[in-house]
Amino acid sequence: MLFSLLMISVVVVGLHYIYSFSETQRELEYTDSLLSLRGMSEPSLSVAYYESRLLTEKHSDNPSYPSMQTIDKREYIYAK
Amino acid sequence: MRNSAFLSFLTLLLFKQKSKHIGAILISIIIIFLLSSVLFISSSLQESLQESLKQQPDFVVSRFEAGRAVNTPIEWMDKIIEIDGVTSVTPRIYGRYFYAANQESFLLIGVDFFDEQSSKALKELSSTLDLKSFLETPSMLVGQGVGEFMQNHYYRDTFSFKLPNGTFKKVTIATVLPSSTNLIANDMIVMPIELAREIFGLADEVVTDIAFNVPNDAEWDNILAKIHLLFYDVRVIDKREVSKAYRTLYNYKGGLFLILYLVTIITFMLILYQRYSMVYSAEKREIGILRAIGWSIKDILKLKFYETLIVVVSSFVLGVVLAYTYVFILDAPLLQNIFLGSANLANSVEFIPTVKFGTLGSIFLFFAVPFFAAVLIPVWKIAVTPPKEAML
Repeated sequence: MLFSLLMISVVVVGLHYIYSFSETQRELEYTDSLLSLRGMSEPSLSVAYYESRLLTEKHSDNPSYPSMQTIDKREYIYAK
Repeated sequence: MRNSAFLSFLTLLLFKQKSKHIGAILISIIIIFLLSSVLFISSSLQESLQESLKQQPDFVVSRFEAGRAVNTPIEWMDKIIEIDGVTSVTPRIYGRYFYAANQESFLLIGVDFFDEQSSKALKELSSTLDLKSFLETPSMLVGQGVGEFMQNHYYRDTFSFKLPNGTFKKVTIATVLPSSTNLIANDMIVMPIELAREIFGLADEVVTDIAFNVPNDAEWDNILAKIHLLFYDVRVIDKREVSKAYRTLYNYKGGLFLILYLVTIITFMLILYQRYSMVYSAEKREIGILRAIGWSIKDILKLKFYETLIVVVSSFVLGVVLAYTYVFILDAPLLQNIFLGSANLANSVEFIPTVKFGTLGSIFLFFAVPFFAAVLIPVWKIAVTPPKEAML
């Protein structure tokens, strides 16, 4: 029974992976059009207004708490 | 020893100690699930961003003053275009627009829609969009997150931007971009370049930065040197830098993920400890009995190896399948907020299925080797002691 369960789950995942490939191509076309329009590949990070949003942007301090060291999410994401 | 007898004994043993194995399998599934989910999300994001990098300009030049980027003079374009090997020099206007009431922000990008490539891309993005009316009235394209935000705040068809001079500019929401672009466009607003200039209050002689391409890769370093000779207060970002940043995206060096790996390792340690403590009770007697009825050390190790193999493989497959379902079918609710943040507009990204078999192999080894060691080392220690002593 365990073996059948494992086999079924692997087959279902495999089918999904194959099926999603064509779907992915269509989505990539949209993304490509948008990227050629804006010319920037930055991910849309949902960061607070005092955190840097773009890779080129420098870290800025929170104007509400100027003495507090702010957390920059990008430091977690992009290894420094 | 005949194989069929060995297999039937192995099966009986697995069923007899069902509760013990189910416990081990459940803990292992959770560990594998968490680790695989994190790696699936990071590899999917890496792939998507590396793909998107193809459309990124080769170089971006901006003016720097006192260590921070400031507006770049548009006249720099004339000097850059004169450098041999440089093509597609484009001024860019973008920035964040803060909606003070909610302390939320949008990324506002100005695009020259009269450029042939831009108007073609715009048509591909929205087939229903009437380009003529879009350009006649102040209009914008918004990402899914911005669209939802505006609907929730009763900006059904238009949004009023507050300009630096204190006046308001009403802009029509022409269309909402498809959800498949959420990874790069959730908080984005695209509008004609002149409109963006007006909203940011930028003078005619400045832009945010200047982008350009150098088709011959071999010339990149040479062009970089020429730019630095032309301007002294400049910061140049080339595509290689961005690509490097994306390659290391969400990698093990990132503090958050290092913590996740540490948690996993500590959990393994706990399993190890549990195994060690358990082996001195019922299992010890069981091994003693097997040795007393004539099983060799090799047979006992073989039995325990296969028993552990079944536990390891089942938990690995189930953990990975669950992680795949969670990330690529359910789009990783909750966990995606760790990667993409949740401090600004809510983002819901559809992850593109990316399975790196090398990573899966590493997870398997990372998981299986300590597991086997935790089981086989104590078993071997008992198996080599005299059966009489082991059964005490």
